[in-house]
Amino acid sequence: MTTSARLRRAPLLLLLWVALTLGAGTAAAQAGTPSLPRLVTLSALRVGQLTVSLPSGTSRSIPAVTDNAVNTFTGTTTIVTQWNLNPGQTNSVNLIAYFSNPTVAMSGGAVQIPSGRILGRVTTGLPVAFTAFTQNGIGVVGTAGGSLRLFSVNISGANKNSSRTDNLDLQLNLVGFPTLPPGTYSGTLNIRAITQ
Amino acid sequence: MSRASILAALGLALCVPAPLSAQIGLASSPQSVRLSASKQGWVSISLPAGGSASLSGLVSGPNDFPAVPVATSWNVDPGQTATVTLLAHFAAPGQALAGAQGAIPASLVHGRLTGGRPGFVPFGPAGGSLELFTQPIAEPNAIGTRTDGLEIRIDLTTLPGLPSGTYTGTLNLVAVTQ
Repeated sequence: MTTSARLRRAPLLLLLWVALTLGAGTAAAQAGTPSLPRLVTLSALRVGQLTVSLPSGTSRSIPAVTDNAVNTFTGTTTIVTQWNLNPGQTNSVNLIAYFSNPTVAMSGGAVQIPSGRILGRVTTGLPVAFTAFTQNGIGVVGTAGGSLRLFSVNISGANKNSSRTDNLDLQLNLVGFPTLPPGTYSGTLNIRAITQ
Repeated sequence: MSRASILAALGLALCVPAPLSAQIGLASSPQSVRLSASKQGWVSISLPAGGSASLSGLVSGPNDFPAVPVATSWNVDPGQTATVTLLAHFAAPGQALAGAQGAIPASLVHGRLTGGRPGFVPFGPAGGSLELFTQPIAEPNAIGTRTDGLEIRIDLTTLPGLPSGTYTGTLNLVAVTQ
């Protein structure tokens, strides 16, 4: 058989297979004899939902830094984490805050402030005391040595579709750090949730 | 695509269960918090030898006080600071120094820095102020200090009739950035 002939026959063979699969039972019924049951397995995948929003506190500042001291950023960052997950496929929801480059969490001029000098806490989460951003990320979220897990909540049927609100407090620890030249130092803290 | 192919594909779709994807590793979109911290610059003045100077036996001509050391220190952002300037002024220019019988106006009080511009310059009369130095600021001297000798002269050439007595006054020093 030539190749073109085989190609022409392929749809016919598939149609025959479908007819046997779906129609065999009907054909047998017409003869008055119950057919063997045929099962059609149906599945529909609902993709899990996981979102993080920051209703307030997307900009935090220290108006007047003091050298060799712990400086507190003004205000607080409110973080709302929402999820709708399958508890059979999800163990936990984790909230991670991280700096993209741990060696340069904040910078100004030639001065670089590493993430270990930034402290964070979530009194309703895991680091209830101020803790440096020196943890590793989780999966694809976070950076090695520049992350901080803000909470981890186990997922069950009771909380598979839920949300929580946390407040993140931040500090800049300059104890033992070289004296900062006057100027403005800036950086970006990323916040992201991930399931495990 | 032929009708047979469509039917075949439909048959396959119905018969082969879709895989259930695990939700481990599902990540949210990232949010960000902008952080900023400002370190304020500062300037300061100190008087290492004290803050008083006196003269005895005023004469009708120039009367020079001993030089008063003035130390000016600064730590500023060179990106936001062009100069550090030291100013001296009397609060009441008409009575820079006053006594029971009269007063010496600021216009008769002169000043200069040792090693600075030659010649004395009178305070005032407008505001009774005198600019003692202006230090340009750049990256290398964003942190700096300098000590100058402030020389003050009372020139009574035009005020020969000043009554005898003790005259006191306060000269204010201030450093400013621009």
